[in-house]
Order: sequence, then C-alpha cells, then structure tokens
Amino acid sequence: MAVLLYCIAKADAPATGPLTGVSGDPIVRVELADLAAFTSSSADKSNWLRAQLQASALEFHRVLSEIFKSTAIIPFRFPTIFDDQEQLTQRLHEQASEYAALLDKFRELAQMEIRITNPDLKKPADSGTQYLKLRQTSTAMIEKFAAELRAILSELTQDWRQRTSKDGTRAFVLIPRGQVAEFGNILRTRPVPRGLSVRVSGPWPVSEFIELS
Amino acid sequence: MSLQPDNPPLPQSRIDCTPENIDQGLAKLVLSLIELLRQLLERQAIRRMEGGSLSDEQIESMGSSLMKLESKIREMAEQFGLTLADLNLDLGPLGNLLESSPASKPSAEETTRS
Repeated sequence: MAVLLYCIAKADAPATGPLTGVSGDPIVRVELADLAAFTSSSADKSNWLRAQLQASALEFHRVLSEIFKSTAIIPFRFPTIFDDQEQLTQRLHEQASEYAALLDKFRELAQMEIRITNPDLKKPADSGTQYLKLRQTSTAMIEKFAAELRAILSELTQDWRQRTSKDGTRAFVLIPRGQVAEFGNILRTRPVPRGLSVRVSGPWPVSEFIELS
Repeated sequence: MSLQPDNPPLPQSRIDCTPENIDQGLAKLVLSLIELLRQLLERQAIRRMEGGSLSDEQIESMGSSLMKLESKIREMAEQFGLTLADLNLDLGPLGNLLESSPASKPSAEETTRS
C-alpha cells in the first residue's frame, strides 16, 4: 500500500476527529517514538495524482490546517508519497531527531501571510513606457509599504521572509500563536496606500521557516 | 509553499504524459519557462530604466515588447486550456518556478483591504 504523507507532529499532539484527505481517503495517525505522522493509504497511488492538482492540493492543505489548529506540525509538500509503510518508518527513524527539534522550536509559533498587490498591474497599458513605469512605481510603493508593515509588526515578529511575485509581494511573518489577534489589530490600524491591495491570511503552519538539513 | 524533506524517497512527479494531455503538458512546460524569462527581462528593464541607461525610445520599445509578450503568452495558454496561474513548475524542495497563486490555499482567517 502506498502512503501519502501530510505532516508530522509530536506524539503527544491531541487526537483529531476523523479526517478525510485527498481522494476521500481517511487520515491515519502513525506513531513512532516521539513522533506522529499523519498519512493516508491507497493500493493505487495514481489515485492521488489523477485528480486536478489544485483540488488535491486544497484537500491536502485542509488536512494540514485542521491538524495545525491543535498542535505544531511539519507540513510536507503535496504529493510526498512512500511506496509502503516500511519506507515511511525508515524515513521517520532517520530524521527523528531533526523533526523533533523543529517541532520544539516552532511549537508555539504560527505563520501569517501578507500579500501586497497593485490591481492596476492587471490593466492593459496604453504604451510600452506606461507599462514599464507602472511596474517601476508599483514595485517601489509595494516595497516601501512592506517595509513599513515590517516595522510596525516588529515587536510581534520572530522572523520575516519576503518574496516578490508577478503582481506584488508576499511577506511571511512568524509570530507567537497567541498573538494572531494582536497581529490583525495592528494591521487594521495601518492605512493602505492608494492603489495597493493587501490581503492577510493565517495562521498557517510555519512552512516558510522550516529548513531541513 | 510547504516544507519538503531534503530528499524524500520517491516523491511522485506531476508530469502526466498520457497521449490525451501531452500537448497541454508540453505547452505548460514551455510557456512557464518563457514566462519566467519574460519576468526576468522585465525586472532587468526596470533596473536599467532606473539606472538611466535607456533612452525614451528604448524604454518604449522594451516596454511594448514585454507587454506584447505577456499578452501572447496569455493567449497561447488559453488555447491549451491553461491560465497564467497554471504556468508554474513544482521544483520540489526548491519550491515553485514562479510564485504560486494565493487562491491555491484554503482560507484561514483572511482579510482583504485596499
């Protein structure tokens, strides 16, 4: 039986209710030493790959979010598939100390995402010059605003990662789980510059901040 | 983005090369790479514009070319049943070739302001 791995948590993580994962397969908790792996199994691993990627990824992320509500997790990319349970067990044995250390490190932390975009970038430009200048001014505005947000959130922020995307910037902010509401309150006090759009989401598993050796 | 173990055993790729979808798969691969190059060229053009090394004519010409290329990529993607959001490649532990769409995540607490 092939095994689809969703995430790893500490073995003392509270039990979740019955969960259904990709392709409707039930989520099974596999415990090994101090770790618990959340998986689903299928005789035919192509079942997980046959559906539309986006739909499967949504089902996968829904499971991660549900488990993350009650405990710290190391989330895995979809699809991380093992040929059988034995292969998964071997992986857990090999990486156990690293996984455990990461789970301890991020136990009380959550990841928030701030996406800053300029909707005008989607509009057609009248000329090549306008096209480039709009992108130039937009990039400068977005970077300036991201820096301002970083400054006003600095007291809550344990770490900050930022990436440029086609239509703006995505900032990932590592904060204590217990301060998600405060994070939102701080952002609500900050006016958004004209022309920009800001989307805040979270709390998410701390996937942007976990680095395995 | 999500975590990937450094070297997971036999992760399955998403490349489906069945006779039914090989055209779309190939189009996705090629267009993703072209879009990556287009974005890099766009950033380089903006840097050169800021550095003052481009004349007004050159700015217009480069901007116009980049704009048309973007439009053409979108048009070709549509012909293969793809959107710009589909033009991406999962590079495993390295993440995605291009930034992923935020719509690909289920919503936790979410607020939008503009």
